[in-house]
Amino acid sequence: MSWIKAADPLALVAIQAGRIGTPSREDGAAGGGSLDTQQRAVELGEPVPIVFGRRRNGAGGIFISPGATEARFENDTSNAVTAFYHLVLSEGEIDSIAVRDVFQRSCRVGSHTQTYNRRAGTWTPGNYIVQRAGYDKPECPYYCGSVGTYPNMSTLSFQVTIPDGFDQWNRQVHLFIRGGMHVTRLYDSTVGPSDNFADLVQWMLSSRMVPSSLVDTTALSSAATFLEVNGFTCNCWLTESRNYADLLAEWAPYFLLGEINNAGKRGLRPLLPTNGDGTINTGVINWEYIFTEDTILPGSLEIEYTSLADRQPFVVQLTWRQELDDDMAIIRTAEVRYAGTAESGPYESHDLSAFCTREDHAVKVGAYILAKRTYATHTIRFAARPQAHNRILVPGDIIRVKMARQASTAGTSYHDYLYQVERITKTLAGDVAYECVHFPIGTDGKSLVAADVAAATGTGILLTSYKTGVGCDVNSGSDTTIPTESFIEIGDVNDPGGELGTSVSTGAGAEVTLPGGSIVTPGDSGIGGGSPGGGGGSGPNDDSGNPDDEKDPSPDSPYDSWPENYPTPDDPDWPFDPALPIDDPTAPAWLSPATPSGEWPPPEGTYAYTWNQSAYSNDIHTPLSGCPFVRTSSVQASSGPVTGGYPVGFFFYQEGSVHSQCSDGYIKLFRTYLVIRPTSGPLIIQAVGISTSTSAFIVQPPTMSITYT
Amino acid sequence: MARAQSQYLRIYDTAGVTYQRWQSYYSNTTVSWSSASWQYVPFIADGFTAGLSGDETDISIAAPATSVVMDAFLTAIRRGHLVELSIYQFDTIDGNDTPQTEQELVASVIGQVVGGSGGLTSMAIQLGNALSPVGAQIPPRKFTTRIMGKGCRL
Repeated sequence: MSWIKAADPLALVAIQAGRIGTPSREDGAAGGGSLDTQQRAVELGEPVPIVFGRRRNGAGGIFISPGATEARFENDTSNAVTAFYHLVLSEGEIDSIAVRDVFQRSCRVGSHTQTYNRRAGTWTPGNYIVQRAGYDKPECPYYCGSVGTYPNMSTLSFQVTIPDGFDQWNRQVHLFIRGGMHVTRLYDSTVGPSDNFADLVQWMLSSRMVPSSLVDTTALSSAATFLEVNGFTCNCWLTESRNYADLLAEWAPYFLLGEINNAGKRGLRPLLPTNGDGTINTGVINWEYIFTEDTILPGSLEIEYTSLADRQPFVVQLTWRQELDDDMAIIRTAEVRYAGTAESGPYESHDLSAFCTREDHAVKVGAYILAKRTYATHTIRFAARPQAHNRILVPGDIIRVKMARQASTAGTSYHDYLYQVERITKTLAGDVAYECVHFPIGTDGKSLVAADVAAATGTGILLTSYKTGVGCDVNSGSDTTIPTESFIEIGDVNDPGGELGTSVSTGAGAEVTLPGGSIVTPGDSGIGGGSPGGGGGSGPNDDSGNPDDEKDPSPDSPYDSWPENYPTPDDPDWPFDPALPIDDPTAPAWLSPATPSGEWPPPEGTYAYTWNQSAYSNDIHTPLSGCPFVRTSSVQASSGPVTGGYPVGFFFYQEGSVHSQCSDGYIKLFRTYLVIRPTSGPLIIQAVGISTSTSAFIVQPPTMSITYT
Repeated sequence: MARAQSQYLRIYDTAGVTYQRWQSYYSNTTVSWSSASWQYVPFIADGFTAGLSGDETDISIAAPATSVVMDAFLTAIRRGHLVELSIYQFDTIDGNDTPQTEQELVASVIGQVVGGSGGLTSMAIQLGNALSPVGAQIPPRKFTTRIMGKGCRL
């Protein structure tokens, strides 16, 4: 098979060499954004965003407006709406966000909790808005999502309570990120947030599974040093899916970098000559090799001169983003021109606001754009026989080409310039082809472009936010508190996508193993007591297979079924919150039972309860020798007076376990708790009895009744 | 001086395990070079380019469609093996039977086996990198039901 080979037009070499042309489209700043908009919901299929950046030395950071994946809405007796939003911040782990950096519309309000690799917050999504007497029912969204797993990403739970009459609960949440996605920084080999574009490139290459052998880490490290030393930082929020090569081609020149592909390895290279420490080389330029008639193959030399359109003086307008420490970001512009030229334009706009947060960075990019187009006048292509240059030169090196122009009558002149090698082609025939861009130097041998870029500095003026009007902040702009993490572990999430290891066995009495080891046998009456009045019926944690009849007073609790291990009342995960407001709309109905007197709250007095519990053995367990006989059944009953309130129900929880030498497992300790509702104040949880069971037994929940006298 | 070029090709995985070593100059013989044995396979690389744009090292290697070549190619493209292609230049007057210690490295390139085509008698193997010029999306992950649940509608 033969291949058609063609060389790129020589004029393209200049662009590939880093000359930044006129943008094909000029628009408003990409780094801005509206504040007072409705909270956005994440759509399935959209990219998981990347927050990349680091605030330091008074600059940097990113202001983001993340989408919500879950929501919850509820209203209290005064019809104040509390809205909960679960937001995805970024791929990977980011630094913790303080209270001062959380906004809804333009105000510091609400509260939040943040975590990584888990679902933030413990609330369950849903619309729990109820009609409140004397008020209009708030119209809140009904499709609130379900709990996800959020692996390897940073998430945040935000909640805010808005009084009746205001609908600001539905506004967009904004966050100021001071430390973005953690990566391994090339400059100092530290894992943490980074604002170095070379770190982002390395992360992107590794995320696309490019083998490390094909990544020029040395070149990336040199580029990282160049960026760090010269203050070219990257603080960006990637939300839209785009091709890696396109992103690099668009952004790299704005960091004065070019992508390099040397011997198959991908890396980055500064577009300016640099010293060993990464600073811009403004000294005399040394070339690596000189080509003359002795090395250049006859007839192979081509020169392409820059067109007139690209030589006209112009003004570079750059848009960048000033991140304030205590307020919203400001979009700024900078204009760069050569003194005395283009006073009235033409203007050429370059939008760096998506990633540039330093004025000097923007100004130096503008200087480079101007200088490169002003001083570089042509590109060159030639072929040479393989000699010493074959081993020495790589793309990016500086060479000298000196060729004589022999005119029959006008004497000899020389084409004598420095060039930067952009492309080297080595063919089977043996010749080596070079494509190079003019590298302009002054009479002192110093790079003209490098000198202009190094000398370019911004005004140094930093603006304030110019925020006016009466502020709406509830939280302080100096509150650096990091709220405690609360979250739902991945293992506690019922796989919403059908992808986790949920197995269902066939046959009657099929068991469903839930993540976390809980065992639910459909048909069990579950835990808890009967309703007051001695009747049966469902009670708290009645896992009858119908999730809608859950009466769990703490719906957020993962312990809805008959788990192997229960928390104890001292455990922070104790699911029953006695401080739960009785009037809370999520409180189960059994907390407000009908009373014998028909009135609520019932009059103070003494009430009695009766508690019966049986432990059954469905499987007679043969005791080990030397161990006491394991009972097959027992009935325990207890009763007593209740004072201080009105008994409303029972809880039955495993309190702990004690290893037994006499069984094949542990003896489980179950304690029964009576729930007492006083006239006012939190519920009273009173332990009333304890029972035991070996692992060979399946303990049936107690039957309980309450007698009111 | 009589200048000649020889090409060496090594196929290996990301852990450094080498699977194939081929050379295309010394016919029908296995030679020793760089402390390794190189099997004769009549392949030809069409030259390569190093440059300052993204995908300039797409190299094509033409080789006969023998079982050795086919097995190596199919395995390499399935597992994303790496290929190191080296070109040496030497003076044949100094010797033409075995690789010379003074032979000069003209060029060397590393790539992955990213594609190939051919017929029953010859193969054209493409070397490059796995970054798709069209795909390779950043950010790399997308929201799925498993990640975010059913999603809300606000």
